[in-house]
Parts: sequence; C-alpha cells; structure tokens
Amino acid sequence: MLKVRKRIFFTVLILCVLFVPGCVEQKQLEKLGLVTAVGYDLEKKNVIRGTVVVHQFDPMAQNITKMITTTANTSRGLRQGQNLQSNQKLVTGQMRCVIYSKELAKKGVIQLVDALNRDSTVGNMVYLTVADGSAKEIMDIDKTNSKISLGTYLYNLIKQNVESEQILSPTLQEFNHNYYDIGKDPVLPVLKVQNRDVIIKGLALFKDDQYIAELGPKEHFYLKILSDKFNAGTHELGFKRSDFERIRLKKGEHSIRDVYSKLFIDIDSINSHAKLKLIDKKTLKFKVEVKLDSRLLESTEPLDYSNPSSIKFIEKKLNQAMEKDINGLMKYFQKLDVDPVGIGNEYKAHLRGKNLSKKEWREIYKRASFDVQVKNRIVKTGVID
Amino acid sequence: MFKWRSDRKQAEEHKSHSLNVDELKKQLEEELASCSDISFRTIKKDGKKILTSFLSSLIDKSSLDEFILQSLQTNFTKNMTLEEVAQILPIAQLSASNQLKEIVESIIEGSVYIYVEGEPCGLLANVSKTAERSLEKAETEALVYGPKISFTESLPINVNILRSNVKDAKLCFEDIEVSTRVKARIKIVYIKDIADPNNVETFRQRISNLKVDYIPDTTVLGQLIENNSWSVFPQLMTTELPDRISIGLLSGKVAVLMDRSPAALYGPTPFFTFFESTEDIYMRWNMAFFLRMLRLTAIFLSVLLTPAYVSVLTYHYEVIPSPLLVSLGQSRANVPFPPVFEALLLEFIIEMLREAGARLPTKVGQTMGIVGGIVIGQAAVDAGFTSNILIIIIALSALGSFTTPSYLMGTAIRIIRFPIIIMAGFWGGIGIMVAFCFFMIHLLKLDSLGRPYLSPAYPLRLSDLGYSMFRYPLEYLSKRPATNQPKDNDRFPFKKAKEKKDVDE
Amino acid sequence: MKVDLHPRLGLLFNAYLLMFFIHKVQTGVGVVGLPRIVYLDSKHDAWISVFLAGVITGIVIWAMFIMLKQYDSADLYGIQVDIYGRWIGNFLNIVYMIYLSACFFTIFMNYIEIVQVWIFPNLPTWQLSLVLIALSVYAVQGGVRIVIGFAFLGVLGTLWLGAILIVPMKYADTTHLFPILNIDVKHLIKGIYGSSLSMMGFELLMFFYPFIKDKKSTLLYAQIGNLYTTILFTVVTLVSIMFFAEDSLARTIWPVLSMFKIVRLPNLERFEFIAVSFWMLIILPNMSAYLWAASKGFSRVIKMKQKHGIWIIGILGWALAFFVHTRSQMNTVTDYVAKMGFVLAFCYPVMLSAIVLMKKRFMRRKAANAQGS
Repeated sequence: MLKVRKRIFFTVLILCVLFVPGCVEQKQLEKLGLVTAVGYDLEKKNVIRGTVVVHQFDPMAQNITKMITTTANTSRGLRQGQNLQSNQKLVTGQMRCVIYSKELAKKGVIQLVDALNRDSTVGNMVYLTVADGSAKEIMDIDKTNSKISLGTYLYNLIKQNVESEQILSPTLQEFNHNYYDIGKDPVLPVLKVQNRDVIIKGLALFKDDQYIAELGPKEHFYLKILSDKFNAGTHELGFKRSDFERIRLKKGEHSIRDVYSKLFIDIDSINSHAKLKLIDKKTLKFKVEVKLDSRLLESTEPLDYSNPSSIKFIEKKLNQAMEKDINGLMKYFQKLDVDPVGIGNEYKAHLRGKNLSKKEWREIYKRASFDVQVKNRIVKTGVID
Repeated sequence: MFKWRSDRKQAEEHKSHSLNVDELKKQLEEELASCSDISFRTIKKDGKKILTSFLSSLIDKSSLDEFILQSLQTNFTKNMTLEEVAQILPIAQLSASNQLKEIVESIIEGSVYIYVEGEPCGLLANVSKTAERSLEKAETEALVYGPKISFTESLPINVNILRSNVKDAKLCFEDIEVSTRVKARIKIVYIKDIADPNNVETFRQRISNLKVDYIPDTTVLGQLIENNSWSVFPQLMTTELPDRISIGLLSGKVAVLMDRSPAALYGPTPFFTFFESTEDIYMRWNMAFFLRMLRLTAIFLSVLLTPAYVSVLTYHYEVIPSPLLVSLGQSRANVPFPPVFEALLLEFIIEMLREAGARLPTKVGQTMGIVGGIVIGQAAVDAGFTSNILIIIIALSALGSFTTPSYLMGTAIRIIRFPIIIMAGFWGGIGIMVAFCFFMIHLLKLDSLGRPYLSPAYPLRLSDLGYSMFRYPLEYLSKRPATNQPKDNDRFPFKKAKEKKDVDE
Repeated sequence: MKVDLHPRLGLLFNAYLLMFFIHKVQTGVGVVGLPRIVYLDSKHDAWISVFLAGVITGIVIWAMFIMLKQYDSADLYGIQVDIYGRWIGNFLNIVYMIYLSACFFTIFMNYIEIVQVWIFPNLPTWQLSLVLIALSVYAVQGGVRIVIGFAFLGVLGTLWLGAILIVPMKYADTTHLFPILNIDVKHLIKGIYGSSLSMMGFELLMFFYPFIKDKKSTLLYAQIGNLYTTILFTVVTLVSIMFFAEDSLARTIWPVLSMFKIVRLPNLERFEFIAVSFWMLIILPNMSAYLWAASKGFSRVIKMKQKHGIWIIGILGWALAFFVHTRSQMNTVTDYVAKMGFVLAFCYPVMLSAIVLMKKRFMRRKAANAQGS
C-alpha cells in the first residue's frame, strides 16, 4: 500500500515537472522576421545607419523580403529601431551576411564585430564583407529584384566563390581569429553593384580592424597561395613571346596570332603548399617557399608539351614570374604595414621567453626581408598534348 | 494410464460422496450449481446400478457411447472389482476417486464419472472434447520468410507443436497450479540442461504466488508477473510463433504456455528482444543485419523526428539550414496553431486512424487507411491545419513504429512519443533531452525476470551483441547468449566452424 | 559503524565499467571551460599543463588504490572512522558529504548557466534545476547499478562528440603552439592546478570501491579511464589553442561550445544548440554519481536510510539554487568548491593513504612482535 502511494506521489511529481514549465520565450519560425543580411554605413560622427534585409513568411505579403533602415549609435540601438518598423519580431539567428561600408571600415569595425560575437544567436559562419560604396546601395538591389532574397543571394555568392577557391573564406570566425592574433591581419571581400547585380570586386586588406587597401584578383591568387594550404584556384600569367620561342610548335596553322602581343599561360593549382620560415632572427630574414602542383589549362600559343625538357622550361619560367610577383606583393604588404599572410605568427613561434605586442610586431615587420622560392610542377596538360 | 489421485487431497476437499446413486446424483447437481447440461445415465446390469455422469457439452459423445457405455453393457459382470472395471474400459486417462470436489472439477474439465453402486469409489474417465480451431498462419506476427505456423488456443496442440519442433529428451513441461477461482492450466517449458534454473524458479514462484480469480490469456499472465507494472515497456514477451519459442528455448529462455491462450509467454526478454524477428535468423546474416539496423534506426527516428520538428520550429530556428528555411517557413505560415498543437493533433489523428483500422474488418480497414492517409492529410494541408512537412514527418514516424516486430513494443514507442513532443513544446532541445534521459534511466531500472532490461548493452556483453543488436554470421554464434545465463554455453564447437582450407586444397 | 561494506552479489558491478565511470565523472561541465582556464595561466603551453594534471591524477588514483587495497572492501567513510576513530572520522565524513553535495550543486548550476546563456535566456533556474534534480534522484533511487549504468550509457552516447573536434581542426593555426614550453614553471604549475579542477571526479572511486566485483583489476581500469580523460582533455585544449586567436581564447568563457559554433551538419546549421542540449547526457550521470556518494553517507555516517538522504540533498540543492542569481556569485561558489575539491580529492587522499599504510605496517609489526614474544 505504501509502495503504491509512493508510486502515485512520484508520478504526480513527474507530471508536475512536465507541466510546470512554459515560461520560456517561444520563437516560432513563422512569427519571426529573420534578418538574413545586415549593412552598416557611417551616417555622421557617432551615428551609424543600419539596413537589414528581413525574410518573412507572410502568406499575404507580395515580397518575401523587406528592407528596414534606421540610424542609431550602436548596433543594438539599430535593432530596437528596426523592430519598431516591423510587424514581426526581428531575430538574427539566420543572419548570413554582414556588409560594412568602405567609409565605416576605414574607421574600424571591431565594435560592431564584437556585438556579433557577444550575441549567442549569431553563428560564427556569418560572412563579413565590405561594400565598395555604401552598404545601403547593395541592399537596395533587393528592392529592384524582389524575387531573390538578398541574404541568401549574398551567402551563395560568397560560398560558391569560397568553395571554388576563388576567394579566402571571410567568415566571422576567421575575421576574429586573424584580428585577435597578434601576427596576422584579416581580409574581407569587397562587394560592388554592377548592372543591378552584386559582384565580388576584390579583397579588402585590414590593418587590425581598419580598411587599408584593396587587392585585385591577381594578387588575391598569391595571397591565397600563401595563406591557404589547400588549393588556390586558377591564375593566368603573361610572358614575353620571345621567351618561349624555343619551344613553340611551328606548324602551319599554328602560326603566330596577332590577337595577343604577349603569351599568356593559364594554370590551375591542384595542390599548393606554402611554407613560411624564419631563417635569421637577427636580420629578420624569412624564407617563403611555395610548392605548387598545377595543371596547365591554356596557353595562347601552341607550345610543345610532349618534351619533358620543354615542360621543365615552362616550369622555370613560371617560377620566375611567380617569385617576382610574390616578392612584389610582400613588399606591398610591408609598405602598407599589413600582414594578412601571418608572418607575425611565424615570428612569434620562434620567440622564446617574451611576449610580443601588436605594436612591437608592426615595428619589427617593417625591417623584415623575404626570400621567395616557388617550385612549380606541371602535372597535367589536359586531354591533348 | 491408471493413476490414483490421492496426493492432491486437501483438508477442506476431504469429503467423499454418498454411496447411494440417487443421493450422489443430488450431490453432484448441487455442487455443479444445477447446470442444465449435466446428464446422468444409469445402466442396470446383473442387478447392479452403474451411474455415469457428465456434462454433455464437454464430452465427445461417440467415445462415451463406444468406449464407456458399450464396454460396460457388454463386459460388466456382477462381481467385478473397481480395478477390473477399469480394465474393461478402453480409455487412456482413467483415475479413481470418491472425493466430491475432485469429481466435480474433473467433470468440468470434461470427464465422465462412472460409479458402480456399492463400491467405495468411482472412476473418472477423460473423454473430453474441446472446441478448437485448426492450425493457422500467424496473424499478429506476420512473416515473409520462415515457418508460418502459429499456436492455437488448445494447450495439447501447442505442446504437440513444441514437442515436434524441439525433439529433445530434456525438453521439460512442468505443470503449475494457480490457485484461482477459474483453474488455469499452465505449463512452464524449458530445456533442462540449458535453461538457467534461476529463471525457471522465478517463473514458477511468481506464477504459483498469484492469487487472482481468472487469467484470460498469457498476455495478462505476463502483466501479472512483471516486476514493474507501471512502465509502458513490456518486460516479458508473448509470441504466437512456435519457432520463436523453440529458438528461445534453445538459447536458454523459459516459456510459459497456458490453455485457451494462442500465445506463449517467454523470458527473460530484454529490451532489444522486442526488435528481433524470427526472420532475422532465417535470412542471410548480412540482410538480417541490414534489416535490424533499419528497424533500430526507424524506431529512433520515430521517437525523435516529431519532437525535433516541434523544438526546431518553436525555439531553435537558428539550426535550420538556408535551403530548408523557405520551404519550412512557408508551409508553417498558414498554420494557426503553435507547432506543439499541430504535431499533437496530427499524431492523434494518425493514432485514431490506426485504432479505427485495427477495429474494423480487414476490407473496410484498408479503405480506412486510404481515406485517412490521402484524404485527411491532403485536406488538412489545404485547409491550413497543418504544414505538409509535418505530414511527411508524422507519416515517417508512424511507419517507423510499425517496423517493430512486437506489437506491444510498437505501441509503447508510439505512446512515449507524446510526452517527448510535449516536453519539446515546453523546452525545445532541452526538453527532448530531459525526456530522453528519463527514458534512459527508466529502461536501466527495468528488469525482465530479474535480468537487466538493457542487456546486452548494459551490462555490456559483447558476445551477445551478435544475437540482439546486430546479427553476426552463424559461425560466430557458437555461444548461447549470456544474458539468459544458460547452464550449457556452447551451441557448437567454435574451432571447427572456423577451420579454413588453403587455396586449392 | 562497520569499516568494511559487503554488498550482496547482485549489487556488484564489473571492474571494466569503472573505465567508463571514471571517465564520465571526470568529464562534466568543467571541460567546456577548461581550455580557457588553463590558458589564462600557462598560455599556449596549456595543453602541457593539462597533460601533466592528468599524470598527477593518475598518481593520486594509484595512491587511492594502495589505500583501498589495505582493506577488504571498505569505502572512504569506513576508512576514516577506522583511522581517526569515531568522532574525528565521522566529522571528516560529514565534510566529505558536504563536499560531494556541493559538487552535485555546482554541476547542475553551471549547466543551467550554460543553457541560459546559449539557448534560453529567460528559463527560470528553479525549473530546470527541479527537473535535473528529479531525474538524478530517480536514477539514484535505482541504486549503484543504475548510477554506473547511466554513466556507461552516457559515455557511449557522447563518444561521437569527440569526433566533432575534427571540424575546428580545419581552422587551426599550428603556429600558435610554438615555441613549445615557453612558459615558466610557476605558470605551468598554476595551469596544472587550474586543470586539476576539471579532472576531479575520480575521488568517487573511494566510495564505489566496495561495489566492484573483481577488485584486483580496479587500478588498471581506473587508470585506463583516467588516461582517456587525459588524452581527451589534452586534445581539446590543443585544438582550442590552435583554433582561437591568443586573446580571444582568454575572452571566451566556454571555448568548447564556441568551437562547436562553426560545425555544420548537412541538415543542421549551428551545432552548438544540439551540443548544449546533449550536454545533459554528460552532466546527469555525473550528478547522479555525486548524489549517490553523498547520500551513501547518510546510511554510513548517520543512521539513516539512504533514500531519505537522496531526498534531503535533492531538496536542499533545489532550495539553494534560489540564492544564486548572477554569474559572479556562481563563480565564487564554483571557486570554493574547486578549492575544496583540490584539497579533498587531490591532496588529502594521498596523505590518508600514507597514514593508512603506516598504520597497517605498524599493526603488522605489532602483531609480529606479539607473536614473536
């Protein structure tokens, strides 16, 4: 009898436990306005203008997305202002893309990035980007093109390019990592509106959290080789035609074309491996060794691929050209005082017994010199010889 | 067979009947509560009265006429002793008695009481005939492959099937008395040198300790002797497949048969036994392995899918990947209820459909399924009652729960979904985990015949995994499952099965 | 009170389960914040500290085993009474009971804090604590076999979480690890102290020892469990150091969960939401183990039934949860428990085993002398 009573007591307790809760805030998907993209512009001193693209599931509404713009001092303040303009509760859990205007980026973005970090609903795989003009300009695309949701579009645009190894992955996680690392600086892609469409224009170099300069696609390839150890996408190199006279095929139909005044070779790196090494601590000499396994995709003139020695020759030419380019790029970085490759990390790994501050590193970085070596290996030349 | 039944006399039953035929008639009528079907036939031969009394509904008329009445009429002489009378009756089961209670009990079971006036006791001859159906295919545990025969309601036939399945001299049928108002004929079945005596003893003790008026079926018997009757999970398994029992017996389990019950109870049956089908043994091991994994995954999904839907749509919208977001959101946009109610409503409809289908005759039942599945589902989506994604999920989880070979376990799994859905509605993922942990502890606490319920997962018995969770090739199953703690561990010598020939030998 | 405890055969569990049990009780809420705590002291050499802490834990487990081996089948409650006599022994027993209950309390409170920060900011503490306590009370009422079994299933159920660590490895920067051993010994030891707190839990061995079936292999399996914990913790710390930038690891309160943030499963974005929920399966067996050990004291020290003890600790824990509101309060409580744990789990057992050894040797010599004369 006692046992039964205890059982009943226990069951009632469990039922209570089951039915007592219910005070948790519900976030039903269809009642939310899902912020898929955010843009920040600098309005004036102390004031930023925030634009959000909101995805909503209203069966009655014409557009699935909506754009809200407000101004405030902080990103949280913006959120409050935006909420006032929305019939659905704005949430950031599905945010996929953040755009900072160039103007804002020049002043520094870390206070805004930090707000993202602090918010547990924002994922770490959010893409951060810089707008060539103002962020609002990019967001306005959404209005003209109501069929697409801008957040998803931008997300796919960047994701596709990251996956096909065209650009460095610009996630919040990577930005954080590079920003907080003493010996490395973050980079982000630059977006631009062209023909009522958003395109990736180039790469923004950051010094700490401040925009410094923009890098074109060519330099981007080298930066990718230097900082990513997987593969680095395709690249074209131009040479003097006379350099390749020795191995050019001289058959009738392959006579000299006059479209190009130079010879262009396209390679696709299958596998690359960059090694940074501090050779001399005193003179700050770094060795940059790049090993590439590449595929020759295209050359504007018929070259002799069947002969191993001519392949060697092409390889050598490529090496020289790339070494020169990389050297130039490193100098350029040094001049701008940015370190997106992470040379500081390498330096720090050899620094025993003392701490390196960011400021100290910037001083040291100016004095560094580089010895670049590229080892290119053409492994495939396509289905024809 | 001639057996003097004196050993089971008890003090209160110690009452012999009157030696006068007419008084005896009266006594019997009184004891049998004046049944209308009690019949008496008095034969007078050589000046002696011979009374035969029986329940006309229970006996085989032709054998009464042929073997009892005819033999008595032709062969009976005046000076015959009781033993001599017994000699002239060509009946297999005969016993002598003069105890009124015992006689009445035997008459109820279909015996004829033959009393020669003046003798101190009479003879009980068993000529009973019970209504029984012929052997049929198994219904509730349908099979594609393997033996299809199923138990019937008749105990002798069931014993017959089992005996012919397991032709082992050590196969043991043990009668058990249950002190109930309605006497139940119960037999414990086990193979003497395989089954763990502890298991047999547990069964014996728990059954003989029962004090109930009536046990209609082995399923009820199972409920009565389980340890935890509050749990939704069945702890002893009933089956209508004799081959399932035979396999069980040979792996050291103990079975219980009951008269008038078409299912056998057996144990110990831990949790995973309920997901085993005999087909798993008849099929090739790799197929069976795949099917078993399929079943376990199906169960897992069946329990988890709907709560996951509820929790994601109510609380964790963040985890939805971008490609799914639009379709999920738009299908939900028309639905006026919160996801919990939506899910509960649809689960409830599915349960109703299933129940209605089960109660209806087969032909109507099929139409029910179609009506329910297509018409209601489609209409519900069109009317904006539910989202179509939920319909898919609910259908999947219903399907998943039906893959369980045991109907009881399938039902248990469908029932535990409801508290999990409610918890998911309250606390999202945390709620699901709370429910999950609760069921985990609960399963750990259960036992089947005193053996841990989650065996062989806990306590871990690696060698048993090949029997219950996975299915190993037969040559690796040389040991009987340790969960049953068999006395004799080896099924066959392992070495011999593993002997391998060289190439081209 | 009897020193030795002889539970009936049906209650005993196999020694190999100890392997899972020790690992499980060590891995709790602590590991979520472990990399950061150690990093604060020993910087990028934190993983060395963690590894060394694991080695030290192994030594302490060995000392415990030596002590337990001196008795036939005793738990700490019995041994303390045997060594110090009834009064002091029981006083120390009560200290341990308080410590174990406090561990029970901090585990669920820390978990609730994680849930509140990561998933439900406005989930009332008392509700979740009620549910967690009710579940562990339910488990402990099943007795020692259920507690061990729950830990075992908990390990099996969460093994796959370790495999998830591969994903953050993609974002790892190996230069963070160099130069190895750059930190001075003082900070390294500080780091060891910091990580030792996450290694706690193995002291429960002293309470579960009488229930082990084959006591000879106790040490082996306990060490295997500890080894696995050590390796896992070292790897987690290594990956966190490589994954996070220097300063951000110091700022991230729960680095392990933050690492899960980047994990994407094919049908699930944002893995940390699942991880936080799933963490319940890691902490509940822990809670039940501590609750069991603490409530065992009720039947061993005070003449009470253990099941009453379970309820008393449960209700007390629930009531105390009302007094903790902020993160800083929780931090102070955790710090106190950690300090207590360092003394009671690391230092004291080693000392006690030395005393036990001396006493036993003394007794043996005395017996030999008595025989000799």
